[in-house]
Amino acid sequence: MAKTNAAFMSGVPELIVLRLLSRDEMYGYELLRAIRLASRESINLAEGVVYPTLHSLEQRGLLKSREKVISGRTRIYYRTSAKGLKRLQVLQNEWHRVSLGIEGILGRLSCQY
Amino acid sequence: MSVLDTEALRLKLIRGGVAAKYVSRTVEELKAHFEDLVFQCSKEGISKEEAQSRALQSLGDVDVIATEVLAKPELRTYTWRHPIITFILGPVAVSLISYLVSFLLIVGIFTALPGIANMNPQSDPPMLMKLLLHGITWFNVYVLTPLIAVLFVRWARNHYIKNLWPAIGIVVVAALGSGWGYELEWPTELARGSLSLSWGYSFLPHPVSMNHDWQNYLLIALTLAASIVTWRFYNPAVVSPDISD
Repeated sequence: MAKTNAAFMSGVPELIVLRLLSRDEMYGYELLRAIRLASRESINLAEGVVYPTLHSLEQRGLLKSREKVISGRTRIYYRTSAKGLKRLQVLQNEWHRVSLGIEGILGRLSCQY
Repeated sequence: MSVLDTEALRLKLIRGGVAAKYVSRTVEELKAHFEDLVFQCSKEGISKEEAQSRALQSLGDVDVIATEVLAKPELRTYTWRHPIITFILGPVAVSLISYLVSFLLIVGIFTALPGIANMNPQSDPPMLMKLLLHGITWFNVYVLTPLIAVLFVRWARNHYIKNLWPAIGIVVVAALGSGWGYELEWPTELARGSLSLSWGYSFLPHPVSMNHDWQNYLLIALTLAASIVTWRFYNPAVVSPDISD
C-alpha cells in the first residue's frame, strides 16, 4: 500500500491523533489500526513515526499517558488531555474552514471548466 | 536483516540529544509494535521470516524514524535546547557562586575557628588554621576554575554537544575564574585581620588592575589544557550512555 504524501500530511497527524484519542485511550499499535479503520485505509503512515508525534504531543501537554501491564506486556496508553481537547477544537475549526475553502475552489473550477 | 535494529536507533537518538526518557520510550514502544505486527502476520499464516520482513516494512526505516524524532526539539534534552544557558550562563553562574561560597567558607573559618578551638590568632596563627586557610585558598586559585571547566566539558561530551558553545563557555570560565584573588592579613595586637576577594588582571591599567601576577596566565593555561585533555580523552560511550534532562 502506498504511503500517504508526507508534505501534504504536515500537521494532519496531530489533528487525527488528538481526535481519536479524545474518544478512547489507546496504545500506538491500536491507534494506527484505528487511523486505518477510520480513514478507510486512505491514510497510511509509516507506523514508526507515530511515536515521535505521540511523545511530542505528550511533551506539549496535549496528551496524557500511563503504563498498563496486559498479559505480561507493558503498554503505554495515551489519551487527549484537557489542554489537548482545546487544541483539538482549534484544529478542527481550522480544518473545516480550509476544507470549505478548498471545496469552494474545486466546485467553482469544475463549474467553469 | 529482518529484526528491528533498536541499538542503532538508540545511539542515533542519544547522539542527537534526545532526552533519555524519550529514547527508551521510543525503543520500547517500537519493539512492542514490531512484535504486534509480527504476531498479526503470523496469525494470517505467514512464515516468521516473512512476517518480520513485513513488520519492518510497516514500521518504516530506522533512519526515517530517527529523523522524525530529531525534528522535534521538544523531545531533546534541556542542554540541546538551551546551549547558551547551559554552556555560557551556567558556567559563569557556577563560577561566581562557587567563589562566593568559598570566600564565605574562609570567612567562616577565620572568624569561628579561633573561638571553637580556643585559638589566639592575634599572637602566632595556629598551624591548623594556617593550613586550612591556605589549603582552601590554593584550591580556589588553582583547582576550582579548571574543575568547573572540566565538569562542563564532561557535561558537553555526555550530551554529545559538538558545537561552539562549550568551547566559548570554557574560555569565559577560564577568563573569569583566573582573575580571582584572595588577600589575607592576619590580625595583630594593633589591627584587625582582613580578608578580601578581588578580581582583575595584572595587564589591565590602574585602577582596574588588582595587581595579580603570573597566576592569571598560568590558571588560564591550566584551565584550557584540562578542558582540551578531557574533551580528547573522555569517552561518554564507554563511561555512561545514560543521559538525563
